[in-house]
Amino acid sequence: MIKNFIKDGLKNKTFCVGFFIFFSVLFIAVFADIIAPYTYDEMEIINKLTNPNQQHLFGTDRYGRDIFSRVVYGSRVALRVGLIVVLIESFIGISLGLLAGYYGGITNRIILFITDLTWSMPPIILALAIVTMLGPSLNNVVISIAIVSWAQFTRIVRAKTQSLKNMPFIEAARAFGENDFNIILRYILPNVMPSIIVITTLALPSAILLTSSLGFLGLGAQPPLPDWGVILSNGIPFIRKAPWITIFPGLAIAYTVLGFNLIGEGLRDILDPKLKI
Amino acid sequence: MNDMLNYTLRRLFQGVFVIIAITAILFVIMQLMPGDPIKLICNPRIPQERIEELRHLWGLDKPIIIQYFYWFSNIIKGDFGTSIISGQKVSTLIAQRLPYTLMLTGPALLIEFIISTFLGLMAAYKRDSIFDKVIVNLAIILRAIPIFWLGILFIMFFSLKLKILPVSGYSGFKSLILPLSTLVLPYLATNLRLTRSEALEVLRERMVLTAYAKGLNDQQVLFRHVLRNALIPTTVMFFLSLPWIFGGSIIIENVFAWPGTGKLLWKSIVGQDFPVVQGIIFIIALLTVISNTTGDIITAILDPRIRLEIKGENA
Amino acid sequence: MTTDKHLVSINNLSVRFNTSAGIVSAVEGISFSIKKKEIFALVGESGCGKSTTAYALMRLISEPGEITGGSIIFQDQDLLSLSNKEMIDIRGKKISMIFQNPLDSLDPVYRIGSQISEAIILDKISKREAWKKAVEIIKEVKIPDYKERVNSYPFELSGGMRQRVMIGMMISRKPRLIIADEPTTALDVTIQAQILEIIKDLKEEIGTSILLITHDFGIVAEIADRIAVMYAGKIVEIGDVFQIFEKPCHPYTQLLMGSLPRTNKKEGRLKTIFGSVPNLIDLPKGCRFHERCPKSKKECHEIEPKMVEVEKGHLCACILMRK
Repeated sequence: MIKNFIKDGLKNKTFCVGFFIFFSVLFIAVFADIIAPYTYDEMEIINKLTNPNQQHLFGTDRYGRDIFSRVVYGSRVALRVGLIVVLIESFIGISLGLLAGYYGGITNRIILFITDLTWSMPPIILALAIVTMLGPSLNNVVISIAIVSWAQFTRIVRAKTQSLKNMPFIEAARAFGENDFNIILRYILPNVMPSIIVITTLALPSAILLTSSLGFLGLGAQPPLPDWGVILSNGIPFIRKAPWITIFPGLAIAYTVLGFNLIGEGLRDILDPKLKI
Repeated sequence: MNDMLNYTLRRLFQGVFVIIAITAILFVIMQLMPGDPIKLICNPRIPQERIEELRHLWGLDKPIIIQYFYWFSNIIKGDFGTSIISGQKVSTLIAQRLPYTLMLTGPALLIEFIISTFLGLMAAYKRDSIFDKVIVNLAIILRAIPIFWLGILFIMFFSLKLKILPVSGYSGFKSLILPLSTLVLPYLATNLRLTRSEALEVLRERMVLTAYAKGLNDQQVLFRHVLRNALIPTTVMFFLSLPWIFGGSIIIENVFAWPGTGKLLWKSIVGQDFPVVQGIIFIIALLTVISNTTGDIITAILDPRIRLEIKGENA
Repeated sequence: MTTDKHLVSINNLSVRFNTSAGIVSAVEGISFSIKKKEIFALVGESGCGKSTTAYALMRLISEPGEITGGSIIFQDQDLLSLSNKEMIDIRGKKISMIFQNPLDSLDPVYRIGSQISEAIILDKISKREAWKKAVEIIKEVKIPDYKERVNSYPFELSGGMRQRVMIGMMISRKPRLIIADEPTTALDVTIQAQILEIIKDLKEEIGTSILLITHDFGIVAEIADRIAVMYAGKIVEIGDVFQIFEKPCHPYTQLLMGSLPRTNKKEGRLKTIFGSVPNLIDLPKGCRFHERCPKSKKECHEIEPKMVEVEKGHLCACILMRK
């Protein structure tokens, strides 16, 4: 089955392009130490705000830090945050979705109510509030985004679980004496997996965008950590003199997000074309 | 008609709970914020008793539930309280700024809905053509672009380079163009994909063949049958996503120094100005409930099968 | 060629589908004619190309399908050479089509009155007149409480009533030819009988011809005048209903009729035709049926049989007939 999947994947152009982009970002993140000529916090005040040149491919910022290196290291921040956020939110979201869908009744109602609540507030506003409450730091950004976004998993998982739970093979398992936990884990979860995979690949770029938005608004990675949104917002006072400080990190964000979006789209075509995202 | 009225009232009633829940959560979050707003605005040399007095004046020394209760009963009467930071009445602050935000979000929503529906329909109809491929790819790229970066790029190009539009702030119609465009584009991209995929599904249905077999031409089939059916899910999405555009406006108002409620909200959250935050969140929650309910009603108008369900619910 | 008696003449029609798996030859070189005031049945298994033929007649074949050859002569015009606009004028007005499974085939968001009058209005009739006519039609197709029913939505009606609405909608402009694509497949047997009655009446009272697409010989026996049997995209036998039922000459037809002893003799049991329909992308050379044919000879693998007239009006495409 995995062989088939790889075959389908390679045939799907969207998936391939997305994967290539993702892989390039991953590569840059892993080999950042080799690729980046400077560290992300090396300051050379003398060289501040220089144009892109041979020594500084993307120029320097107001402290003389090499933007290229900062953007390169920023990939680590972005990927790491994205991954952790999605891990947390998928765990919460999927668990709640399975429970709500399988047990129905009051469990369903309660979970549904909480899910709708989280979903009805514009995520950035809620995330903003939570980060402020917890204190601006990258860790708290992770927590707040996870809180704001787990609902996207719950809805789909819940819907799929509901339709699966009445299928004959689940009834058969019950008749066999399987307990609920086993049924959910061994029968329902694998069937929901394709949708989960698609949503995960789309939750990642959302997380990255939200992180950079929060970074842009000043609540995120604290200096000198090279979060792309932070680098960008630091460049705003200089958009006339040194526009590259805002251009390149933005490009990095867009490139990375595009990669994940394409992977998600390609995966959806292969795994679950009916999924409406 | 009676059924619809019943249904609307019921949804609005449920909505009240939603508003309470949302505002309560934000209230709790604000309370849990570190630091002390009173201290933030006071001269540090003010004696402790005075600080306690101020705290008492603001009612910040009472238990959370009581504070919330007071706040809620006031707001229903229209009293939004007073800003801790600026000392002005919250309602005044909001009233000053809300029109600017609405000036941005209102037209943005309308424009993006109309354009995305039309383009999505066309792309579905001309599936796999060059037009379709270009549109879909543009939409994919647009969705990847962070909204603040887009705004900055626009400023760099149109204001700084071409010098045809103002950089920031409000200065009449011209200053509206850039922030409006920045707000419209990402949502347009998302809705376009949605409309397109819904329209594609409808086009696959046999009733489209029936329409052609009757002798209708492309235009009639597309706009009378396909659009009408595809509008149902897209309208739902539209009303559901209405509150989200407030999220976008926070960033846009920041980038363009637009004097709206978004910027106020951001400053107030960070500055822990509870009454202002609560006031604005209340309005957003209210709008959320109204837009969701409106969405449900309009969907019922568009889809007779839902009207049947509503009848069943009311029974 | 068209004679005065023929309403439509299909000559050498071919339709193929360009799929990613290969080119599917769905219909190849078929020819038949439908007379005026005649119910002509096109019969065959699922996937034999009969529905495709019907859609080709209405020029409703869309990507990845294309009509690759032949002509469809209707009222002295070759439908395949008409522009899209000219074809639109023909659809619904001169030739219309009834689909199977009427729940999917009607628009769920419009009342049935609107859907019927939508067709009528195309003849430049005022909205009010069209609505009145729609009510008339609902009455004609014998839907109970027709005055209230005009305002119903499709999902509020039963399957049988929906099919009547469909029929009403498609005869509203008095077409010369109606194509009925499996009109009773999704309905109960009792409703089936009613719908068949209506179709028969159409021929008698309005004088339209019907092209009936079906896999059910029972229906064919009840109402058809002439029959064409299709297999794997080709027509294997044409004749009037008596000729086909009493003297089927193509082995496939005979098998369908159950009158040919099988090679594996199992008396007294329901016999099935051994094997399955050939892959339309990778067709065997020669006769398309030879791999399953109990009477096949060596030449069947090489030569494609041509249509031979075994008696007046009865044609058969089998080399065994060449005598």
